[in-house]
Formats: sequence, C-alpha cells, structure tokens
Amino acid sequence: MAIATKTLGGFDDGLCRFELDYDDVNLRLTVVRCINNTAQPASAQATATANGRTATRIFAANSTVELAIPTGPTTRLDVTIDGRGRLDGVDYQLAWPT
Amino acid sequence: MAYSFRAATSAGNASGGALSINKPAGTVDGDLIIVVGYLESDTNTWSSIGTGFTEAKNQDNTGLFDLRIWYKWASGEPASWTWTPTTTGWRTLVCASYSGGGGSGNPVDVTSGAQADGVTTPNQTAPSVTTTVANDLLIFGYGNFSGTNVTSMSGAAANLRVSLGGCTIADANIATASATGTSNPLGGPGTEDYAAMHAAFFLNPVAAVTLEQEGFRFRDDTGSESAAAWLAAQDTNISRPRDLNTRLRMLVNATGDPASQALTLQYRKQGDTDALAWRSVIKR
Repeated sequence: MAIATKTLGGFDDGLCRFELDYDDVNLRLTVVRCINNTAQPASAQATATANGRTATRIFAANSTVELAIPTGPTTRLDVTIDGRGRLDGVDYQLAWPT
Repeated sequence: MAYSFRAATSAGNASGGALSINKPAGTVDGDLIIVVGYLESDTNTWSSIGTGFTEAKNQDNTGLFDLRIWYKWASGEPASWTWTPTTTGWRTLVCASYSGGGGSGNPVDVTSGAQADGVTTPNQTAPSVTTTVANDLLIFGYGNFSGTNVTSMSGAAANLRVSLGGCTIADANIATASATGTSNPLGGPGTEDYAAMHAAFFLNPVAAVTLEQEGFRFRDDTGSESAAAWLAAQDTNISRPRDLNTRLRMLVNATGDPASQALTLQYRKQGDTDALAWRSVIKR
C-alpha cells in the first residue's frame, strides 16, 4: 500500500491547485489539499455519487490547507479507479475566486 | 477597452449523468460566460445544456470523446446551470466569465480545432486563427483522454484560467486583427489523446441585421410626389405597355442597421447574370 497523489484541478496558471491523496490499494481518498498561492480564496465541494455524501470547504488566499477525509465505513467517500487510472465516484465543484 | 477575466468554476471529472456547474463569482449581466465541456464518448451527445448557451465550436477526438465550447451573455443568471448527457459517461465542465464585452449579439469571430492520438505535450495544439477586428478574446478549450490536468500554457492563449481533469480554459486578448498562432498545454499532460480548439470572440459584436420589405405600390410618372396617380392598390402587381415611365414606391426596413454597416439597395434586370449589371438605387 502507498499513498498516491493526483492533481485534480487548478486555476490561475496553476497558482491555485487542488490535489488528492488516496490509498492505491483500497482507493479510499485520504486527503484533499488546496495549495492556494493567489490573493483570492477558492472553494471546493465533493459529492460522492454512490451515496450523496457532500463535503464543502473554503480555502483562504495565500495558504495551503490539507483536509483529512473520513475513512470510516459509514462516512468515507467511495471511489473507484477506471481503466485509465482515473478516480471515479466523486463529482467536484471547484471555484476561484469564490 | 478589452475583455477582463472575472472568475472560473469547474465541475464533474467523474462518470455520471446530469451535471451542474456554478456561476463564476461576481458575474453580472452583460458578462460573457464561456463553458467548455468534455464528454465520453465521441458519439455521445448533450441532450440538454445550460439555458441560453450557444455552441461556438465542437471538436471531437475521434473514437474517444466530445469537446465543445459554449457561450452566453449573462442576463439574470441563476446560481448554476445544468448539462445532461444523453448517455451516462465521463463528463467534465469548466466555466469562466469575462467583463468588458458588448453584452449582446453573436460574438463569435473565428474558430479552429484539432485532435490527434499519442501526441506529446508541446504538440497538442489548437490551430492559429486570424481575427478580423481588434480586441478579440481568444479562448483555448482543451481535453485529453487520460484526464491529466493542465498546469501551464504556452503560445497564443497563455493565461490558464481553469483546468479540471484536463478539461481546460485558457485565454488571451488579441489587440489587433491578426493571426494568433497556436496554443498548447505546457505543464501537466504527457503523451495524450487530445482535442483542442480556439474560439475568438468579438469585444463588441455587431447586432444581426435583418431586412423587411414592408410594402410596395406602383404609380404613374405624372405630377408631383403628392399628385401622381396610383396605378394599383398597395402590394398589387401591374402590367403596362412599354415606354411608359412608371414609379415604384417601396418601404424596406433594416433592423439593427448601425451606421458602420449601412446597407446599399441595388437592382438588376431579371435574368441578367452579369454581376456588373447591379445598379445602386440609394446609399445611406
């Protein structure tokens, strides 16, 4: 098992970007990270398509924030990985500035 | 005067059905809103799109995915819009809004597109377009099959605004009417199956001009404008012997006819195919 990191999306020439850490064996998301090197805040919302669980967060300007994602059986975001290595099962809503 | 980027949003990057994307923060009436959508596969379609959006360009990657650019002028916009694929598939939307534009009319100046498989990053280009007026907004729309996010841009549209899972909007203001050159992702994607587009948008679109012929009436060539005798009722055809001067009064309206695009009314004898046979009646 290892923790893999995937760049999910970004804004403003990559100065504000979102990354995901996930367990490469059980494919559970463990951390959402926003590296926001801009003067404006950003926001992210993740909705698990399997169970509708949603998490929303504002990320302040000029900051890096890591959010630990619940991994318990009743709270975790269920993801799968497709044939091309993409994480599926979560719809994202990202915005910058927010 | 030029377009000014306001804010961006993104949504999806997963398989599913209907997908909503939020309106970029600060968007006000009159802003130009751009959406780029990625949908698998190339034969899948969007059964419905955000209310009021118009497609500016479509560029499939053959066999893999569909990529489109839409636009609309903001007018009483909701907090979000919804795109729905005909068949559930991997879908991603990115959106950016811009202030400074004219706020109405068809803003599309010129577009281009390209797609290929197994291409390295610097060669995943959108072809150059030649803008026809000053201060166009050049939009770069891009997607790749691996879903690898774009982290930097090169070429004409160097301002990377938003990218989610590789679905990307970048832009540039093109100050003078000219060939823009190509645009391509620089950081992020590796060797990819990609599609890329350019769409250049007028800063101030000219409103669509329409002509309406409202009516006509024949009269004899006698007397003054007020005294000449009518030959028939309005909108009624006539027959007269040859060599009789005949007046024709007609009313032609031009809706949305700005001074800069004044229309010229011309006539030509029926059946005369010589282009030089056209004669101007009036020029205003």
